[in-house]
Amino acid sequence: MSDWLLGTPLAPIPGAVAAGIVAGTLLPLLGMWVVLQRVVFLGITLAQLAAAGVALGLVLGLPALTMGALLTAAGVVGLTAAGRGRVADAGDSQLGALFCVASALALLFVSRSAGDLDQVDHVLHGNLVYADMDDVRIVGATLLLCVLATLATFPRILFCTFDPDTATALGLKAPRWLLFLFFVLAAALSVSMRTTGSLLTFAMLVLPPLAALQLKRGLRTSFVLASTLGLVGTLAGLFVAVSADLHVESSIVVTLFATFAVCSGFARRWWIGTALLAACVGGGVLLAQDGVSEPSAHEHLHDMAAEDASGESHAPYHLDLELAGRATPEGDLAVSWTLDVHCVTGPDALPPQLWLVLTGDGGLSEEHELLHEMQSLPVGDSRHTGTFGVPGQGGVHRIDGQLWTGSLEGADSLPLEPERFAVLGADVQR
Amino acid sequence: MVEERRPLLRFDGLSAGYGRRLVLNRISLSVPERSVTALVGANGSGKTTLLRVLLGLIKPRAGRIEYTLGERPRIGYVPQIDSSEVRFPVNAREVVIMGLTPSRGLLRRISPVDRRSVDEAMHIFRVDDLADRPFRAMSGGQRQRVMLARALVSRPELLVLDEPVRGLDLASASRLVARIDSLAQERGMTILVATHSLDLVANQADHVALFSEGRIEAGPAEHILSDEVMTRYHGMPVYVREVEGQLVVVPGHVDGAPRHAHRARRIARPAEERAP
Repeated sequence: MSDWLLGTPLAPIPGAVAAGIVAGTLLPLLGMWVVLQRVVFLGITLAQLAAAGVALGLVLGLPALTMGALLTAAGVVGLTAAGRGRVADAGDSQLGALFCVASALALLFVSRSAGDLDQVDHVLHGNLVYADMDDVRIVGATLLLCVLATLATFPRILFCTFDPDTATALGLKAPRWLLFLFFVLAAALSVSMRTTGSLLTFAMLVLPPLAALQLKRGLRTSFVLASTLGLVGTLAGLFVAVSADLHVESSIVVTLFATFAVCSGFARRWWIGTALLAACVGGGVLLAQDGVSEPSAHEHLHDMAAEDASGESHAPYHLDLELAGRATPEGDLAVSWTLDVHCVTGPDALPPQLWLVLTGDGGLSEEHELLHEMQSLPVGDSRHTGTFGVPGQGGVHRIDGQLWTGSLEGADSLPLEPERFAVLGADVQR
Repeated sequence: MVEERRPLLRFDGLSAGYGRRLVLNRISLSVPERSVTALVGANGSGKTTLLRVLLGLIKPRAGRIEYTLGERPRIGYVPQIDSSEVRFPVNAREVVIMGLTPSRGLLRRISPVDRRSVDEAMHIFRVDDLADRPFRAMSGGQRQRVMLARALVSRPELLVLDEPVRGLDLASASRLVARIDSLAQERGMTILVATHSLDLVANQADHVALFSEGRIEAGPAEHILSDEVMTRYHGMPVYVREVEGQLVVVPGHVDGAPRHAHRARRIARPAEERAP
């Protein structure tokens, strides 16, 4: 996955890219049903209920995803009763009331949990940057199952959403099929919530379908377009966010809205669409360049290292390591790392192996191999990324580290000279 | 004179409503098989409510529906045209195919036989040349014909139509009514139609049920469509007359309303006698 990202600004966050691709492609396929039934407000209410459920799970120490799905499903049942058997018929007033209480409960629940403000931010706004491959697998498998469930029942769901009265008259149990659809949505929303947060989840659910429907194509083409626009908007948002050092989830929401605006433009006049597209691409490029021109934390680190190295004009190599940590719901510590290797004189000067002694508060000291056979690396710059987990260390607040070479257990192991490397530690995210 | 036919279904002491409002109060009505039964009444009189009970969309508060054959007949339903969803990016063929969905297995694809049924139904209502046109881009009359084709493709024994000519111009409405009438005769279907249009009822229905304040007066069309019953039902003079073989329902003079005798005389004269 991360190989093709090398050399792009997205290379340090392969997990976020993978999670973004999965959610950005699959959520719009479910969101089409929300938009077609004109129950967008219902969609955001369910997303907020899922957030409240996840938060409740964090407070009670129960599985957050299960709690999110359960609370959303309970909301679907309640709204079905309010809508006299049809969840989509629930009134605006009932939806508004439920939305308010779900938003408030999400805040109350996370404020009672140990993580406090970090968790508020995580649940409500997501934490895509720290998504690891385990997150991607869970979100991907769940969303894929949800999409397959709607594909297998596509003709029935289509008939029951298009004309529920006639579907019932002809013998289909439309309320049950609609209930099934919203249970599927509940599962999808609650699982996505943990990775993408309520705002981005809702945006991925409705903005790409709204954009696709602007283009007034056929049914199947609209579904494919929604998925494609979701993917394009997500990748564009990630690119702009990382390049310009912006909040990732908010940037994706804005680029998804930009796809909607561009599609609306094309739906009216081709030149309006073209102008909007040019404006959006131009704005994104300017933002990205602006971000590059200002030294980011990572570049600052690199510059400091270069200054250190400048005292030794013949420094054969320099290593920059950037760490990121996240506490998982299971109480483990997930660590992602990005290593920039600046090989000046030749690979022979590089240490043969490289491993990290990860340190942290509470006496954390954990060894992990980062690279072996370093001497096969090319002259010049190369970037390497990876993730690993440290079981039972979810309570650590800050991580740092030192680089060592030699074999892990061997007597030849020794720390690298301090002027050869720089490690940027990080606060552990919750 | 309509021959006596056995009922396909019978509403027996049926009461139904919404919330606290009772719309139908212990009504009984037989729907003879292979006939056209018209439900006529003003807005809110209960005719659509009766259809919704029959279709299983609301539960009756009292009474029941008896099916002569013991089980519910296959039903085709055409809802009111303004209730159709136009946001969906579906074309006419996809709408008609929906009529096959309940009889298809969950994962079964559309068979060649199904495709022929769809083509035939679209041909009967002359929408085969509109098959790929987006449903939302169609006129009201075209949408109504697509809905009829969808109802027909499910091979119904009972065709239920809710205000089929509402919003249609005179020509479209006449053609549609003629098509439905011939279809009923060719296929021996039972048709239950709710309508405001007394002219539609006068010329096509075998049986008529007049709805008023939750009660009904029902019987053969020739009995209900009489000056006496119509005048009593409307609370004003109403005449049923025959013009060129077609029955027309004509309101009489209402006390206090201005007479437009000069206009009536001008219209009544043959076209060739009128001054240019």
